[in-house]
Amino acid sequence: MTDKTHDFTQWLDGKLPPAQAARFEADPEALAEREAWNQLRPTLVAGLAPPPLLHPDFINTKVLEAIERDRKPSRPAGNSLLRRLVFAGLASISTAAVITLIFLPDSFRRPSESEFISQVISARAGNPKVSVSSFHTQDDRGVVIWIEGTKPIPASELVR
Amino acid sequence: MRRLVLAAILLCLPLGGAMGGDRIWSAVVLATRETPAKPVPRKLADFQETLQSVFGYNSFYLLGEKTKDITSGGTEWLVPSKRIYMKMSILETNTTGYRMRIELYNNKDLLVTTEAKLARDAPLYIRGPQWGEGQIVAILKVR
Repeated sequence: MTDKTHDFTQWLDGKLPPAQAARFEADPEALAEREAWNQLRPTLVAGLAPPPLLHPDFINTKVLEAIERDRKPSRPAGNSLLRRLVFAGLASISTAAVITLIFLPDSFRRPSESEFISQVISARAGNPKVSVSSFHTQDDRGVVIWIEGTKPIPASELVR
Repeated sequence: MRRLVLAAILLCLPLGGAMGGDRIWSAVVLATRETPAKPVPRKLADFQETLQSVFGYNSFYLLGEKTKDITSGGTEWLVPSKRIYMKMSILETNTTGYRMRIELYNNKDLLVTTEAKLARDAPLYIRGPQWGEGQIVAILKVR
């Protein structure tokens, strides 16, 4: 903006000191422009003014709600799904454990040492002339069934 | 959906016992006294000490062996040799092994019927008949 333009604008707004304003007051062209500007000015001011709100309080409330909503950090959808899956998994495991505890209480019982050793509960021979006994082995937690009195297999016959 | 999941869990529970891939190994062994003692077959190495101390022989021959998957409720025939074989029925399973009924046969003769608890890796030895100068021993082991 040049000095002349600046001064002219100041004169139009009535802010130019009288000594400098005299220059424009003597210029009929400047006077005509000021007249035109004075007529145009109210129209421009009216056009720039914001339209009146019908329900200003309601709109204000909605705007505040929107601002408040935007402030809260949004959770990613994937995170929520993962959380649900983890919860469902833990719930399933817990349910299975409870059902197992009810129907198979031995599953949670620590086996005793004797349960790791084989045992003969009963043994009887097919032939009444044959005797059967049993005893545990020393080395491998095993058990032996000792049959006495069976008919020998002749050496000439095959066993394989 | 929840009922379906619950039903699936209940159906799976009976399978959660000891049958998770367990197998039973059966073997027929000939035990003899020889000088010098014969080397023990690799598959009998784990049993050598017991076979020697319990039965008093120093040489062992693996006449036959058979391995089978353990299934509940059924009867299995274990035929490690054509002459000496076993009939096995699983009666009960638990976390450490199986309660089973075993019948040992020599040809068609029933030698012994036994009900035994076989713990995993704890063998059952059955002293069978004499064969020539040797002794037949049947071995059962859950693996």
